[in-house]
Amino acid sequence: MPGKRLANDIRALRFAAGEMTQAELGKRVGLTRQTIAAIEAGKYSPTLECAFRIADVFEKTLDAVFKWEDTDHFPDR
Amino acid sequence: MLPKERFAWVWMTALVVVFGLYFAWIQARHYIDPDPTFLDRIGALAIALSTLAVIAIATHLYLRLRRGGDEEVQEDERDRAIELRATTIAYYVLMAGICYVGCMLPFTETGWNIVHAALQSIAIAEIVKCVVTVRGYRKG
Repeated sequence: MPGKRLANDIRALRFAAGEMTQAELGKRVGLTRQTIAAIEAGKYSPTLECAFRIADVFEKTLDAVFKWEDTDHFPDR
Repeated sequence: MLPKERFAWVWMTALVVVFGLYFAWIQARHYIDPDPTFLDRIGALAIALSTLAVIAIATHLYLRLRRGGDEEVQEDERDRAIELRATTIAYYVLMAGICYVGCMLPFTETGWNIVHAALQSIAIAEIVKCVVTVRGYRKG
């Protein structure tokens, strides 16, 4: 959909969770480190199931981790 | 770089180099010997295809040995999504090529020209698959 993108706070949540590494988060949700990096960078949108698994790791709700934002906030993308 | 992206780079390079050399040699040989024997032709093709097979097997083995034991997740939904996209696009390229080879060339060409056109279709489809795979990992 034009004008919107899936943003997330995974990077901040990882650091809040004892500086968890991307590889560690990846192991816990069944993704590679590279996929976690791509999700954080907004280059890849995870499946709904995977998004729930990520939110579960941080004991947050889905909307606390992922946000549907205007692309105006990201002029470079 | 993930093993699948690494393999796509190696495989794409191998296809371009091996098939490039093979078809360049076919063209050059045409001027040297316009009517080579069946054994000459099949021998050249066998060398090209077995070279590709050796490269594919060696690369797979190398990447498997190089895998670190610390990274448990070897393939995930993103890998599968990229592979699905690449395979789908390559399928349409292959279909177009095979339709041309199977429906048009039998009326205008014969024998080895049809075989070579089919080989080119397969090579182009594989190269497209590699390009889409690499792009998928680079751009997301």
